[in-house]
Amino acid sequence: MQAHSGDQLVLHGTSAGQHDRKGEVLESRGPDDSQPFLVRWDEDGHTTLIFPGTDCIVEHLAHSATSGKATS
Amino acid sequence: MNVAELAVRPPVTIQPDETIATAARLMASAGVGALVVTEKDRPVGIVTDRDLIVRAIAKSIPTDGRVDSVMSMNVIAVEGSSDVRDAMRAFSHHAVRRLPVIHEGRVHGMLTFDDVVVALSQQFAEVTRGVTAQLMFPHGHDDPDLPALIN
Repeated sequence: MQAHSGDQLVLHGTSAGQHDRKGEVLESRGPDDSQPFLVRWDEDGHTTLIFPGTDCIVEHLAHSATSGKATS
Repeated sequence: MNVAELAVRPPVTIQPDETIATAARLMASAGVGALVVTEKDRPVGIVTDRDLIVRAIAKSIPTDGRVDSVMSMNVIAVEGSSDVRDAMRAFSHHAVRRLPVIHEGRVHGMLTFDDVVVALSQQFAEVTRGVTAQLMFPHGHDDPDLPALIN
């Protein structure tokens, strides 16, 4: 999974009552824009690293004008 | 205060293809309640003692099942230079009690919710020491010498 600065990361809730969480990718810390990603979470603006699993989606917002929503 | 200033415990890791029984034994021997599941030194999940109960035992998953079948993916982590307030918001926002601490892409330690509570309570005690003294000895230095006034 790759992400660039400005992309949106969506973390789907996996249990009842757990809502989706969204955040802005600030930086990719791995080689070739791979994980971990430094993410600023929309809800309260805190930042964490995340090593996303297969159920996590990256929306390449910076490139969506030409290519539409892309997921990894 | 940043995360590195807190007591960060060394991480206990396990490979994803290890068994649930191995994970349980590792938790017991290391005295921890969570293991970071790593593949080529990269975190791919976290498995807790609660996961073993709720996702394995309660669902009759055999103890020789793979540990990655009961782990949580999407590892939320912090860096040592992260502000503790970010860690606290991460605990709350992501409903987790443990955050791997990452240094140069590898798991360097584990920050627990308890670590933060203990550190903050110690700071709070220092801040309130003066107030506590005032409560216990009110106006100790301001009281006039009553016998002297009477006389």
